Amino acid sequence: MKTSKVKKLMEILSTHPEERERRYAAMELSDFPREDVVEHLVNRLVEEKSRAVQEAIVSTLITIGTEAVVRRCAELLRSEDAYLRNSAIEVLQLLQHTSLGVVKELLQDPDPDVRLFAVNVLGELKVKEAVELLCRVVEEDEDVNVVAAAVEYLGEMGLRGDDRETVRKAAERFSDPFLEYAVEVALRKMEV
Amino acid sequence: MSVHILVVDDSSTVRGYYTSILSKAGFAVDHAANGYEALEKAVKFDYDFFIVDINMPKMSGYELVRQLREDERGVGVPVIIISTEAKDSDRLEGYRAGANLFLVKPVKPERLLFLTKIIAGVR
Amino acid sequence: MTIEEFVKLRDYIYRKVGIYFDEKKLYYVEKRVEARMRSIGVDSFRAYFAWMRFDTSGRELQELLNALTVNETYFFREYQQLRCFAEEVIPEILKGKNNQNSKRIRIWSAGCSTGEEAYTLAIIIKEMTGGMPVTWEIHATDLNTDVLLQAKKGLYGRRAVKDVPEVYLARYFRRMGEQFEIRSELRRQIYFYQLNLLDRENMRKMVDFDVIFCRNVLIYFDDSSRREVALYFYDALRKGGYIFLGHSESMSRITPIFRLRKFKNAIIYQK
Repeated sequence: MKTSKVKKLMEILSTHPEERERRYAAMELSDFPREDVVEHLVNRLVEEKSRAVQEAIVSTLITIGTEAVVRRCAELLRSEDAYLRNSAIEVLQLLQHTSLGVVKELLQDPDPDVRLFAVNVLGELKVKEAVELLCRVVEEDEDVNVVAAAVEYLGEMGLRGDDRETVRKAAERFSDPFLEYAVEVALRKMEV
Repeated sequence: MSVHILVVDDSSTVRGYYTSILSKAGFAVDHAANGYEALEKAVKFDYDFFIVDINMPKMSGYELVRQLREDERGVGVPVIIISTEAKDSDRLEGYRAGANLFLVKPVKPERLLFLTKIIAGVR
Repeated sequence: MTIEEFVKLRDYIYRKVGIYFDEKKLYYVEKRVEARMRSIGVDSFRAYFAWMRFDTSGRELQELLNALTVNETYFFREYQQLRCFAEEVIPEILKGKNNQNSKRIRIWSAGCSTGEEAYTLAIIIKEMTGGMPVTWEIHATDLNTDVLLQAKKGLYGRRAVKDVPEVYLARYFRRMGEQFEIRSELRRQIYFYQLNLLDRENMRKMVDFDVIFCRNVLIYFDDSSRREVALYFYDALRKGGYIFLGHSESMSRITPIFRLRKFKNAIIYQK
């Protein structure tokens, strides 16, 4: 009974000609936090042409909020489509600690853009561990944009004297006016 | 009358950095944190120039530029995209969307100022 | 509160909800932050900011936003928007229904509280469509049944009606000592009922609206709920229908699916 309902909703989501029906199907699927549902939702998110339906799918993914959602959204960070990349970031940000494991892996990615996305997720988390991870990015990452983003978040989240020291030293690792500016602004925020 | 620039980037540091460079040179700078907020502001105020990031929540820079170009008031407004994304395909998409110039982050102050002045047609 | 403290807080709020306080608001923000600090019992800005920033429930940010967005309700509040509704939006809706025999306008006041907004809209529509072959109805909903009870009564003090033009006061209210009662002819055209904006089943029944007013309500929801409500609103509107948010509110942190319309007196979101 339940399975046939899920099947029907997934069917509507992929084939119904009315946008409104597809949106409702997407929203209703939030009651079924199953792996195959997540899989289907993400596939439809990629294929779907209507932004309003896509937004409903994103909403449902956030509501479902499982490890499977995190994993599938992490893959979208490499999409060619900017909307999909940024929606994936948003989902990861809202899922908070569920995202943490995957985000740690992404921090080691060879692509600096993927690392930047990981920093953007970390910076919205509300766990102290995120602060430590951001400090490590500032100390070790080779890309100036990734480091600058981490510095910006530390300005808001860093509380200890050590965090301040980490940010201060970042400017020495690269000689770049943008990073110098980012460090200056972050240090000012960390004073208060 | 000074050129009115809208800086669109989700990073407050990036917005502050461009603002400090451009306002010192006499440009009037306003800001927005994503493409959709930029459109909200652009319907309210008339901007002469846009500096736009690509990856932003809710609405990307590409989509913002496409929508600006669809509106008759935004057809000819200069747009510089400044992004960390540096692949040829990114540049191509930026130019296809209607950007006048595509730069890669981080941008040096002199370069930003020089190119903004040239494209805005001020000396 | 130092300027640095102010900027740190301001930047955070702006990123999260898109409301931007400029330096002129420092004193205003300071007073409200101090009140929040007293109520949770912390004595430094540093401790307060950390508390809010790492509050996993997100509650403290909501509380602060609540304190920062004054939510007095009174008749004809945010006049510029109402003017836009009266002079630009209603004529446009009527024009769009030109080929229909009986024109019907449906308005929803979402988060109606004690009813001032719903009655204000009723007065405006009545004034704007008087003598025309138009019928209209207003649905006014709130989660809180106490405020709905008060709204249905339609009894208001002097403060609530301070911005009501004299001629409307005479036309639509009945004076009862120090109080003003909405006349029953107006009351009859408003349906007050309880509704949770996150209740999927019931939200699905809200359809075919021409305009939704949801001013200073979404601010009380968290990120993902705000999104969900905005999507339900999208479905509740007719194609081309309008949404009015509070004048300091923005869809820019919620969802980009609405078109933006510039009117003389306001920016309005449209399906």
